[in-house]
Amino acid sequence: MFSFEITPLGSLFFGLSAIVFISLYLIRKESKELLLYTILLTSLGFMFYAHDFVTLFVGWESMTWSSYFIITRKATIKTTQKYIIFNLGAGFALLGAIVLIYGATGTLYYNEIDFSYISPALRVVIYILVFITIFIKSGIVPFHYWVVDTYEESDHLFSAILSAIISKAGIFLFILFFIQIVGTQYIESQLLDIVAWLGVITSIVATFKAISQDSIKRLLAYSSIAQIGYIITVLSILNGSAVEAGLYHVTIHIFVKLLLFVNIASIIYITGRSQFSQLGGLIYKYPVLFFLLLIGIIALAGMPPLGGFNSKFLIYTTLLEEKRALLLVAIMFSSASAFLYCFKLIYGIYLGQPTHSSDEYKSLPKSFYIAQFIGAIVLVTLGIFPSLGIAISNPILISLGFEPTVYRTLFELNSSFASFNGGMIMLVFVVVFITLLIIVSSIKNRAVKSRDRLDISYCGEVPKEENNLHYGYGIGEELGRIGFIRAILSNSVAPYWEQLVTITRDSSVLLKKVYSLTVQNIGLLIVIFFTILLFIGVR
Amino acid sequence: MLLDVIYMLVLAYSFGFLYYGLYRNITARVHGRFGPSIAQSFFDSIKLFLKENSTSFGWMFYAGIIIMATGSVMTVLFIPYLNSSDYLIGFSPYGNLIVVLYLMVLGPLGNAMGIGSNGNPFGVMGITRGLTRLIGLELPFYIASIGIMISSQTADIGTIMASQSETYNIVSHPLLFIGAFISFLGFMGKSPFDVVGAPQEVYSGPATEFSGKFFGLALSQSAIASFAKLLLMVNLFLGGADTLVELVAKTFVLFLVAVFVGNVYARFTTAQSVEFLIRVPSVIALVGLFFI
Repeated sequence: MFSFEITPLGSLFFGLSAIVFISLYLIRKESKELLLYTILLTSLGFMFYAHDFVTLFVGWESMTWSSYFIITRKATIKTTQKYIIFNLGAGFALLGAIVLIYGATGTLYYNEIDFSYISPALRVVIYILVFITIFIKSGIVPFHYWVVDTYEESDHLFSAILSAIISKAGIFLFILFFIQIVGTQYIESQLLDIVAWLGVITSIVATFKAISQDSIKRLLAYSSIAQIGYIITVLSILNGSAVEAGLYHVTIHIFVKLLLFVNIASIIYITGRSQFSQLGGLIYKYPVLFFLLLIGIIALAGMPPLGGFNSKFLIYTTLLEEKRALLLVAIMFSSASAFLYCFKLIYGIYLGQPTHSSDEYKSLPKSFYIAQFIGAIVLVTLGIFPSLGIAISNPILISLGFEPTVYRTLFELNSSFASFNGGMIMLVFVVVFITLLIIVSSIKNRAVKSRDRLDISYCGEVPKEENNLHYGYGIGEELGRIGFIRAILSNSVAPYWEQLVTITRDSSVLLKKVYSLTVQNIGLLIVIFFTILLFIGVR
Repeated sequence: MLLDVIYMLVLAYSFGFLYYGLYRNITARVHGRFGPSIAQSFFDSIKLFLKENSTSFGWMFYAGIIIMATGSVMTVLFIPYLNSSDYLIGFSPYGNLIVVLYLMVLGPLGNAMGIGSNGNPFGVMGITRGLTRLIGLELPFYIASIGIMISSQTADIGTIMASQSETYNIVSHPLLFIGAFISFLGFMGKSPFDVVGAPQEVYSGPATEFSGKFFGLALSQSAIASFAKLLLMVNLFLGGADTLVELVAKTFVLFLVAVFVGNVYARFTTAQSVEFLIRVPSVIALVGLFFI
């Protein structure tokens, strides 16, 4: 019944998922949810290694359902309903596409499906259905309505899985369906243009929404949406370097989000607080956590010398090669705006002034550090050896029929547009940093240490405890004064989806009249039945 | 290699301060004052290194400022000074324009870390203004850089310089230059985009807790960073330079224009500058992008 095939593409996704799951297992050794986690990982295995659409669909649906049961343990009913309705929608869209493919080609095995036999109109319908599936799972605007609440209200560690792995299921389906199965020549370029722009719009909207959040997990949720937007945009180019850039960004994003979500989970575990306005000044109490988050946000911002820069570089050069200047402008704009939420993330939690006393803090189990160290080590290693990522994605490129990328050393990252040496950038960074540190430290001038945390320049006065000194949680509020950002921040897709809910509810009331067998309804049905008979008889 | 790097840094440091001194002088003349001597800023920075620090706020404050300086030094080391030359190229063969665009942001982010850790809300106010302004500043500069990269079919700065041997990009892509130049004014911290440093409001702005050697380092790195930005503009739009004299001449002209514009305009608020940068230079640069 089920058929499987071990492909490089499936192995990359499954391998990365397994790393994330194992590092999170270590934290939750005795949890009752472990069974559900295991079912989830198994269903991911089904999906990634499937060789036909039925196996893929079974994997896809059991992924949705096992996540649903994990989410219901913590989230409110409204959020879980939102999650399941959207994801069932995605499942039905996928099922619809599968049925149409079977109807047109008579087979469900990946290698036997030939899209040249399907009429162009039907092809477009199938593509749109698959795109809807991908967009819902990955949270592309306007289908991101379920994402943020679900990420926020789920268990803190499960949010890491949702962001790092589950959102990548959509990306996997994109590469599998449009590149491996359909083949690049049977897709209308207009459809791909729309997809590319949806990706860009998603990243811009989500970036500004992220900046304006007070809840840490909501900020991270929006940032995940934005990052997926980049991947969708670059994949819509559908060539070898696009796949390479997309896969590289997937890898980076998985480790960044694993690190960040576990870091946030640690902070929430310690303090019991999850809003920027309630945190602050934790750096000197938890320097290691601070340092790990710093690595995470440098990679998230895509700054050299860490791994995050490599995938951004590949995305940019792919768009440059294709001369997609406007898309690139929009992506770089969103990427530059992301610095603001990266700073908010680290400032709101670790820097600035503390907003409360640390008496009731819990001590953090050591297992929380493992996942973060795994993320940090991978990001630093990829920073020094950028072509490691290429070495991993080359077999996938070959299996998808593209030319593999040639690289001379692991230190270099080459594209036809430019290349850079990650190892050298890291070396220069370290040498310059240490040299400056030695120079500045060797200047032994007299220094007065600040007496306490309130010993700051404060307009010639000494601030009091009750003064609000933790300014940074307000970062992003002033963005509302800028015209187009105000337009983004003040609008939401919620009213549209709620309108849809109202329409569905009203129509279901009408439908209910048909099958709820009260005397009036039976009378009404009999009248309708005879009217129809009469109508047919007259004709 | 080491000598090359040292030469580059010495040049950037001295020209950065020379230009800063000139800037103070010209501004003073515009105001009807005599102004300090040209070398005053240079002496200031040396003097500040020897002054007492009024407060120090722990290791992250220290590290943040050093990351800021590292960012500026790295930026200048990854931009070649001269056209197809074997010296004064630093590490530019190992990087490209995209690397440099990101290294330019490393400084501000390091600065943000340091200032965030000192716990002064006014400092963070300056940082927030800075990062918000960055949203506007980067857009026209990125559009122009993308245009230049696509027209020269490379992101390698040396090749971009070499590709202008016949016509400079300022001539072949004037609209891109205008867009980039307006945001360059902001990168240089000149009016009308200088709300971040807030020079007239002593108690707000990033530098609010800096003193002694930290302020000295902040001043020195800003001199190096402004030279790096001048250098980048010359390399991207004015065909780079074949000799040091040509380099000085070209950077000086750019610098003079920036100073004069800065002296004429009043200051925008943060929101105004972002809105202006998105509405005017970005649109100009976008129009320029269509002509490639």
